[in-house]
Amino acid sequence: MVIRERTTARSQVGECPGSFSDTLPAAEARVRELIAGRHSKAALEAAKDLHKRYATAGSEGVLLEAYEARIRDLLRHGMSIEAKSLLNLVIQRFPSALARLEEVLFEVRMSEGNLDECVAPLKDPNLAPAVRERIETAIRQHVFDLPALFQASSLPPTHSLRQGAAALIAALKAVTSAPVGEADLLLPQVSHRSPLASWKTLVNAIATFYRRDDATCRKWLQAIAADSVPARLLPALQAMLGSATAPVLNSAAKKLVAATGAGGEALRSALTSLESAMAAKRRPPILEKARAAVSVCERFCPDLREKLHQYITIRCMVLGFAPDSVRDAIGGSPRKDARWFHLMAKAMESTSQSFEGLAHALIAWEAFRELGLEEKSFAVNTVEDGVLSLHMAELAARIPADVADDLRSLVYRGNSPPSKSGLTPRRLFSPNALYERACASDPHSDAFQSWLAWAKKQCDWRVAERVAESWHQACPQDVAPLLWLMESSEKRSAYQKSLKYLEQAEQLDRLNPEVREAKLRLLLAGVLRHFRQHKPHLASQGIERIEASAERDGGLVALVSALRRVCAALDKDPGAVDRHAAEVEACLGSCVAAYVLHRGIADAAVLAPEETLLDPLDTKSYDGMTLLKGLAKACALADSVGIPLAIPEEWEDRLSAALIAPHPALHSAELLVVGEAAIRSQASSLAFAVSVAGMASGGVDSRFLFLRARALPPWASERRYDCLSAALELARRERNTDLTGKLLDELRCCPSNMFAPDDFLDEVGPDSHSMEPGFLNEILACERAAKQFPVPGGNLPARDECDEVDIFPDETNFAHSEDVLANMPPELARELTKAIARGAQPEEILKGMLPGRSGTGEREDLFGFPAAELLREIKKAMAMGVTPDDILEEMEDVLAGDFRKGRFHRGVQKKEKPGAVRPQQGSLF
Amino acid sequence: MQKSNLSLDPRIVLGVGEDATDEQIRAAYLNKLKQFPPDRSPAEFEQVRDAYEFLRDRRQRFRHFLVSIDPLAPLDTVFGSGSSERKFVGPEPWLAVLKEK
Repeated sequence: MVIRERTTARSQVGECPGSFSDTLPAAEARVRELIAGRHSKAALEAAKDLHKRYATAGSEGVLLEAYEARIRDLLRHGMSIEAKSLLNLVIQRFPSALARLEEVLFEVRMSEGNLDECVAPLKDPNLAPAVRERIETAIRQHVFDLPALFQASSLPPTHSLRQGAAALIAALKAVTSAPVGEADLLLPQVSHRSPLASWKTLVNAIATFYRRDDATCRKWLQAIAADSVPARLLPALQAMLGSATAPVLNSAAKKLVAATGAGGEALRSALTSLESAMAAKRRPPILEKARAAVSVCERFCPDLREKLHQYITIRCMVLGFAPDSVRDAIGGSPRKDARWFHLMAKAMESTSQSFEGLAHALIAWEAFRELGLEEKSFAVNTVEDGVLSLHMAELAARIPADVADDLRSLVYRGNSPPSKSGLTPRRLFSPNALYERACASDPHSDAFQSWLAWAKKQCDWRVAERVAESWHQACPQDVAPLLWLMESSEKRSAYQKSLKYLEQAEQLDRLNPEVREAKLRLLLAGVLRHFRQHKPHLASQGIERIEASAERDGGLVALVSALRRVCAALDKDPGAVDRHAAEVEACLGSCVAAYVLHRGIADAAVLAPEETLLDPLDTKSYDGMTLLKGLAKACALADSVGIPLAIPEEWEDRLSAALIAPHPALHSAELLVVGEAAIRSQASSLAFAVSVAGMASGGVDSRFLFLRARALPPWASERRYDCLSAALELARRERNTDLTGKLLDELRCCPSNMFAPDDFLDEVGPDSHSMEPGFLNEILACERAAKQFPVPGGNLPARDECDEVDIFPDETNFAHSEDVLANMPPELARELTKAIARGAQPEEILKGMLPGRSGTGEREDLFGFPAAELLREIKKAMAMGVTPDDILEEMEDVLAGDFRKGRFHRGVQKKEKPGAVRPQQGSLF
Repeated sequence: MQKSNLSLDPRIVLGVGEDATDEQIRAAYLNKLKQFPPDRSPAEFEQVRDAYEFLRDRRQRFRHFLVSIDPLAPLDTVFGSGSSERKFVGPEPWLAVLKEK
């Protein structure tokens, strides 16, 4: 700066009459020009030369002017000692100019903190007006330290300047600290002729600024003397008022603007404008407004510049703008720090509609982790690292394993893996690796629970066992991993091992209801296994342990009696059978409930009715309501001990009829138990009827909507999706986390339209599945009004969209089915279409296609395969918990003629979901 | 992972930044308690207490930090801090400007 000044000055001096060939006025003008340009040193040299040559009063005046400028320059650069020396030199050399130099003398004294001496002459009431005016002008122009003026001991305490300074100090503090009243702004101590008058004006301007009375504030600002000290605040205040021609601010002014938040207003206004342009999605205005917003931000809130760059770039990326155009508009690329990748990851996570997008989000999260560690936002293997890895694991778990394999090569095409200390690409997409890292960094129950929940869904049970073992090692006081290990061992028929785990769990927390429940289930599973093995004496021992281990309530007594009844039947002891049967009836208070329980136990033990000496119930003797109540009672008991009861097929119509009665006399919990049993028994129309009764009785809509969604036939996929989404929204409002989890699982496997194009599996819906209140109410109203099990083109809900959703007018919506139908004989295709239209079950469909339609005789066959055997296979599959979708899929193969004996069973085994029941092991879990 | 059942962002309730430390959070909590004592402002007190309970748990705090950032939120709300008030900052910043010529 100094070098530049010298160079420029030299050149200007060179241009000026260094040879002094110019006339005096021209030379004077040149010196003044240099002074105005703040080239005080050059100006002084030129003035000295000028005075040496002409030595006139005029040249002396110019020289004094140059000295003044030089002294002020020195003061400006904080060189007060040099300034004072120079001033003394000038006064010595030009004593007659003392009066003229008074002002600069005042400034020099001020810079030395010698205000006392400066204002001292003012105490003289007879001070010459000209001198008084000069001092007062100096005060107006140079005194910024009001406390120093207030403390000027050379003036009496009652002097107007000291009193005015005191009043202004108090007023400034008041107006900048809190809202003030008008009385605080009157300041009678400061007259309008006072050299401090502009301060009074400033106080009023600040007060009106805080009152947001911007027009009045501007008027006050206009009244501030331009040469006064308070005028130094004008640029900042004008900027804070959002002046269109905002001046350049010095650092203190910028800080003030940022501190008051007034700069934020200007920025907010620019951003609102940008947001509107983005909403319109028109490129030129967006880039223009983005440029303007960045400019405002740089001026008023420079600290926010980088953050704003990052946000604008992300938003423009989401809008599909080329990075170059955005970079040009906002004047550079955003800084690629941890915050950038955090924003990127979140943006991809929330906008992504494909698994590829999720994969990119995972990569961004990993980069965020790397940079976060580098920036020391958090450390490796800490709680924070664990939380981040857990989030990533949950994200990775949403990508199917086979899709992840493809994506791995796709997203890393041409890119090197981002992490040095992080995971390799292979492991980055592996939920298991991410969960492992999360649990290693922050071993706590929630993380392990999430990991185990994922592992349970894997085909290989050993994955879940390893997770449970790790959990047990990391958190030895948690019973949950032990219960899972117990359950898993029991499933694999490792009964002794499962007992060992149970023992460990009991040692930890014997009174824990989950442990007690698990114990009961395990003991019961052992009893059922002994039934299957026809070892009633061993079963009896198990029954005694059950009796001893649990509290004897009505339900348990009934269960024990029912189990003893089976023992008696296997021992061929009809008397004992009758006795125990009577006990069960007495405990449950219902023949129907007793029968359903006996039958459920026999089914769970895979015993034929004749083996358990169980006679069919004469249902004609009971009305529908009695059947319904008995069923509900038995199901509630069986559910509590983990026996999945099935509803007798022949009861379904009567139960449905009972449910549509005006007062079914079952409360919500009972209805839900029956509904779950209906779903388990593939009795969709009955489950639907339960949901109708539940919603009509004002039950918990979320649960009944969930039930309805699962009861709907496969072709009503979009309605099913809406029901699930509505149920999810309601469950969230009810803060029912258990139901929310189930619904999210269901939604992740539930395409909104099963007839979508083939690549629909690559699409991933938003994880939130949030729903607008209006739409939710529409769905609720529509579903409450729907009383009939849906059939295509039949009883449609009244919702506007339903016309598009549920009507399957023709070929388009049955496109997928047609592919299947095209491969089968026309008569079968016709039958199948009819059956699907009725919402029939797979076995009904098969029955319907049998030539004789006379039941399930052994001689009837379908393409040479005995139909009864096929039906038995289907029933077995249903008992194993195979989903309707899987059965339907197998049916398609059957109907396409691709069936070979035994293939169905093998197919089911192959597709069996982890945790699915395996009857050959007698699992109850 | 336990989820927040707060209706407002706990950081906004306590008036702390993203990178506030345990000590800063506690200090902000105590400050708010003075502002909203339970006997005089029970509703506000409850909100402040819930926010503190949430933020004092490092796990919840970081999880909230991870998921609460919204790159698609309206820019004026992200950068406007949700407040259009002109902040009273005391006389010092004003006087600092007056010192500079």
